[in-house]
Amino acid sequence: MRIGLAIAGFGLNFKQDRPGIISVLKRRYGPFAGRSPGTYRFSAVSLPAAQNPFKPAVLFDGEALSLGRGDFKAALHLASGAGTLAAAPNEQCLDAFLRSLLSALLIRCGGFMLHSAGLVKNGKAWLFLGRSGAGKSTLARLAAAAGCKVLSDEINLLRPEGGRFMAYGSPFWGEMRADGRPGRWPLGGIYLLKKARANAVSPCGSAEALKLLLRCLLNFEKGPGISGLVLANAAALLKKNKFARLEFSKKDASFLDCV
Amino acid sequence: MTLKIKKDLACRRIAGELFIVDAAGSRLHELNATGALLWDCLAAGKSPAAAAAALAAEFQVDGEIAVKDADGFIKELLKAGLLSESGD
Repeated sequence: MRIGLAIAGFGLNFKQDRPGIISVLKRRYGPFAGRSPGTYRFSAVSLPAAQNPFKPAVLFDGEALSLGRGDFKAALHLASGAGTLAAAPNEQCLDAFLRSLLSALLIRCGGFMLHSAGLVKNGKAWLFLGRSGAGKSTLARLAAAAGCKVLSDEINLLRPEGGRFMAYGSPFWGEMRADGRPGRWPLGGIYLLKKARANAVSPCGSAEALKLLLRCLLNFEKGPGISGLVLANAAALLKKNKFARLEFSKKDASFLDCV
Repeated sequence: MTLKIKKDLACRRIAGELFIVDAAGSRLHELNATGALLWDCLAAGKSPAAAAAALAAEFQVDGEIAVKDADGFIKELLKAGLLSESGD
């Protein structure tokens, strides 16, 4: 059995001689299936579920990427695109695997996987970074109710293309628990979300933006060179995009007028 | 005794402040202008005394105060794991 997924511009092909992992991927990532030829090809086998370690570990050694935690172990040769995946055939495990893989691939190509809410307005993507409780899910729900396309209320995917950053449809959601939508949109800007009594937009400094950007970045890799990559990517995003502070009342969708 | 800066850190000046990313430790450190000057001195292999002298010259502070400030800052860096002491 086989399935191809296209997420954040990466083509991911999986094959297994039994339904296990492929069935879960089809069910969980259906909207992202079969839309791109596979850049990376994983030969998959099922593994019994195991809890520890819970946090994924990601390691690059030249062209070889290895990822693992208690319930999955994967290896990928970036140049040839050939990989192996041994994983528990359940959604939680495969979500963790794909988040680890995509965060590593995105950082390597100058991009980001960001804890944020994302929506589309006037053909452009707008991201809202915030600490827990700042209102990401509330903002996404209000935007959806007002008819806006929401990219995710939890994790958004950015990568540079042709001199600008593009936001990709994300299959990773929080409280809204949606399936996500494939597609890509030019990034219009990024707001730092702050809970407030009334909606307002104000400028924010580069230092403040960098701090929140790095705090919201998903990265599981600890190896040599990763600090430099992350900081270089962040500096490029700061240089090419508008950052502002959005004070958000959480009351209604009128914040959309500020965007 | 020499001081060594931790490997695999990344630094960049943004809006007048020096940011140090330590991905292995999942930490972001932020240094103001005086901290950044001392950091640059230590990164260039200068001794704590030379770093203190640079601080005194740049910010026109008393030499003794500069030494005290530099020592305090180095202790903070050691505590944060950004610096280590080696015996050579």
